[in-house]
Amino acid sequence: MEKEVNLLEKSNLLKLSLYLGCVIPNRYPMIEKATRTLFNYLGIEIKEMNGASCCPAPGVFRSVDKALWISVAARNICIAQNNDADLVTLCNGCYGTLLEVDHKLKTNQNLANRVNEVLKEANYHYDGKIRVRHIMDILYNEIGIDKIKSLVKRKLNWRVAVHYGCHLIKPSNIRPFKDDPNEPKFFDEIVEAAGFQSINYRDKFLCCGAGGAVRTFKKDLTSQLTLKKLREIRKALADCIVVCCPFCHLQFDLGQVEVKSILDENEPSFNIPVLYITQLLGLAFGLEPKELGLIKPENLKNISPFISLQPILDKVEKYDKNENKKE
Amino acid sequence: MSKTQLRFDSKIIDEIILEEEYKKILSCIQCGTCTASCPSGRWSPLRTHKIIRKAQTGLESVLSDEDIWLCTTCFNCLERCIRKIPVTEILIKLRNIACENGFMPYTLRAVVKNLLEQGHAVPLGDSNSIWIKLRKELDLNPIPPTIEKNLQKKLELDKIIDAIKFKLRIPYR
Repeated sequence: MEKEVNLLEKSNLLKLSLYLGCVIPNRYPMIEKATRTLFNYLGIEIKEMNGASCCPAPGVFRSVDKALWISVAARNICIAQNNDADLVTLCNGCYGTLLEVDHKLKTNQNLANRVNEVLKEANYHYDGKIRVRHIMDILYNEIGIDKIKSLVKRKLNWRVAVHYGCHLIKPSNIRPFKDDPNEPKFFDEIVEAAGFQSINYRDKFLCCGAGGAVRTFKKDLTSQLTLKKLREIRKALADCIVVCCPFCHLQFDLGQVEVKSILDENEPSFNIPVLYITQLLGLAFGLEPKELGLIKPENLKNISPFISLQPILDKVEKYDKNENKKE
Repeated sequence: MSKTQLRFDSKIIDEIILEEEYKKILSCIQCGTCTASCPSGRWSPLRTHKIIRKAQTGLESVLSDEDIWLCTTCFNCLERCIRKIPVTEILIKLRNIACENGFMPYTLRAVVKNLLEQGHAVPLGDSNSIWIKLRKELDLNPIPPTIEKNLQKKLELDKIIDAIKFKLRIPYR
């Protein structure tokens, strides 16, 4: 592991409450690993959110009951507030829930009072003093494109298919990105700054299919959307898919296995590696793949990632060998 | 001419327009931009403008209509509505009313149970869980610093869920 480097000015030191949610710690912990490693490398201080629950997931819980959705989210925001550090989420779904609820509470005093009546039962009080942020907001608006460029140690130049995911950008009125929500660019800019080619493909802004409780309610429909995206990404000759949401991550990873049953006759199955943005950036910054959670334990069966990342690891190894020769 | 009676006094519309922002549903002119923007509708029978029309005219069958559960909540329709109607949010509101009336899909009930019992929609599993083993292989704390396995913190969540009377209001079993 590289020695910890404080890359941010001391006066500018970022301190963030790391909100893990459910899918990351419990199904895709490699995302947690990569993010902890990257934050450490960037000199971002992590405050743990002890006792944080499900956000709760916008697809299911906002659909089931708004009071449940708002009050459970408010408790999670309060945990970050008690850390005295902005909340950062690594998931578009959690972002949807926590940002929307925080906005409602900040703009509707009557609602905030009612929610505080409920929170009192568990000894919390919402005061609206911190912000809810997404990892992409931190990377784009705090770290910035220039800093990312300056940190690149492995110039990998892969063909990367980025997938934004819906709740990162919409509803756009309260999100911190200036791009047109119909055709955002900031994710592409980050990937390009890190030395990759962000490729164009048809239906780039199509939903992965998993949201809105549809994966729970009708997985066949979810698979149709995923298959469409996978076909376009394959046509565009992508080396990998890069996401900034564990639910989209799961959908593209496990989804490649699930769409096997609906492929056309003679259509080959899919084997496109899926990486989370902090894994991709970590590789570009020269960090060890193992420290970015890029391992596949031989002794464990039926675990994530379901699509092999070996092609990615081989490319990194080959690149490192060539660089060593040059030296 | 359509025989549909315009019933702007129906129970459904009354509930929807409780929220100021949702009153905009009354200004829907059925232009179809929502349906044209809908990714789910490309592969499913969901026709968003028809759902809005049913809600607007107070057809209670909309509550048991499976189509309201086909929306992935991508928010394209909300972004693009020329009348600035929060279409996606109104569809979610219809889901809320459907759940209150006992129309919660069974597959969702299991996820609700996970939250109520374990604090997570997707829990880690028991002590033999393969996911705990994976966390160990990654050199992470085997139990994440969440509400998982933290009984004290779980009690806080239970109190909140009791305070909003969720179990009394929503038929979730």
